[in-house]
Amino acid sequence: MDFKTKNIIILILFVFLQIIWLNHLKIFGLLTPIVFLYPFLIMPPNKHENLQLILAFFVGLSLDIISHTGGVFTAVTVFITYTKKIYFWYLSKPGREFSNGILELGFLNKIIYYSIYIFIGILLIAILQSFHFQFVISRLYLIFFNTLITVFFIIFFEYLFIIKSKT
Amino acid sequence: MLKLIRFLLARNSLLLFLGMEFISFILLINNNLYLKYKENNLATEFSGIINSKIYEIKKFSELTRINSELLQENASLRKSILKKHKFDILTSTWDSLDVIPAYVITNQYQMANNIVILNKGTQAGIHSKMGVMGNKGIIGVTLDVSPHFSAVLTLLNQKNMISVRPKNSKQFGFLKWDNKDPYLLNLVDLPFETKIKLKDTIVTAGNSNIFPEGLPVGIVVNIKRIAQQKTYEIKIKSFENFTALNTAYVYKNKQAEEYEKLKDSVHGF
Repeated sequence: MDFKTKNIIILILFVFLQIIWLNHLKIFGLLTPIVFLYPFLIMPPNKHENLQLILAFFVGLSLDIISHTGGVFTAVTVFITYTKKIYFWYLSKPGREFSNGILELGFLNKIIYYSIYIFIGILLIAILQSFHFQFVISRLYLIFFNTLITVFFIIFFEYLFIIKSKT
Repeated sequence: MLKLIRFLLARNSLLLFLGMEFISFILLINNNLYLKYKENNLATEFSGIINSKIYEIKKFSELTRINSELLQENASLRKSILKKHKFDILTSTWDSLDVIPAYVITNQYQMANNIVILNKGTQAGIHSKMGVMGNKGIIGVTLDVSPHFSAVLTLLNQKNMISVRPKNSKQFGFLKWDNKDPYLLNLVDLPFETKIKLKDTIVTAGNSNIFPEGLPVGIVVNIKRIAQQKTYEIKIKSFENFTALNTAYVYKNKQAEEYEKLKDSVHGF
């Protein structure tokens, strides 16, 4: 299975997972893992950028239609998909360009990368849903714990399905 | 045009991103009642800010007119206050007076002989040798007057000698400035028999047609006895701040000319 097909399968899987199960899951009565961003985070930043943006747009739009959230998920998914290249640009040095994206990142860099973008994504969702900055700041700890849960979920998934399949 | 197309093609992913974000925000605003309210609120807030700025500018442009109206009103109030002092008026030549409001357009206080220029002159009824009062105390005496401006010899001028007295005494002396401090004036030639103490108020003596009697001048801050001349030399802190003069009221004695003519004719005999 080539990288592109694998990514599309993961995308469909995670979007369904988000809609059918995770959106209704309330860990400790409060926390909901936001995993639909994961497929976009693992796509290479400089390959098929326009295709990625179009995919992000339609995935976000589908989530918005299902969740009755206007354009919140669309805006966030497109934003994360476009800006993820900044992290790779930040890490890149002469002769080290990360053209395959996440596959070339070490474990720690990968955790940092997921944490940053998941946090930004959840923060943006909270801001766009409430448009009340004081409210968002007062809920910052929830955003932080949601990020932790989501990153944990992603790492767990990677361990189960990607690392184990290699071995 | 070709350059623009090349530029857009080179940045097509950025344009796609911006376009998609734009669509998302339109969806966001159209599907969210709260955001719609916020958007309307923002528009109201924005127009409110603009309107309030316009109102402030309008208000500022009207300030000059309001200020000159207040100045006129102040002048007529000063006139009526003076008229209420019936005793003073009956015993002085100030039976019929006029108060002309004016703005100080040039103010000197650092020279040895200082003058100020007022924005009104003979056309407003001002002539030379008229008393000029500020908001708190007397300023000086008009010297040269043109149709639209008047030069005033202030109390901070060594050539000026105005007769003044303590508020509770009839003995009078003369105001002189020693060219040192613009806040301090000297009262000289005040006889020994005058009852005076620190913090007494000094007012105009009203011995001439320049100032009516009883206009505030300053407060006593230092008393020195000159034994040889049997007089006091007193330091007065002026009520009027000569470093920040803004408005002035010129006191016009309408009977001054008649009085002076009579005095001259008597001196002729």
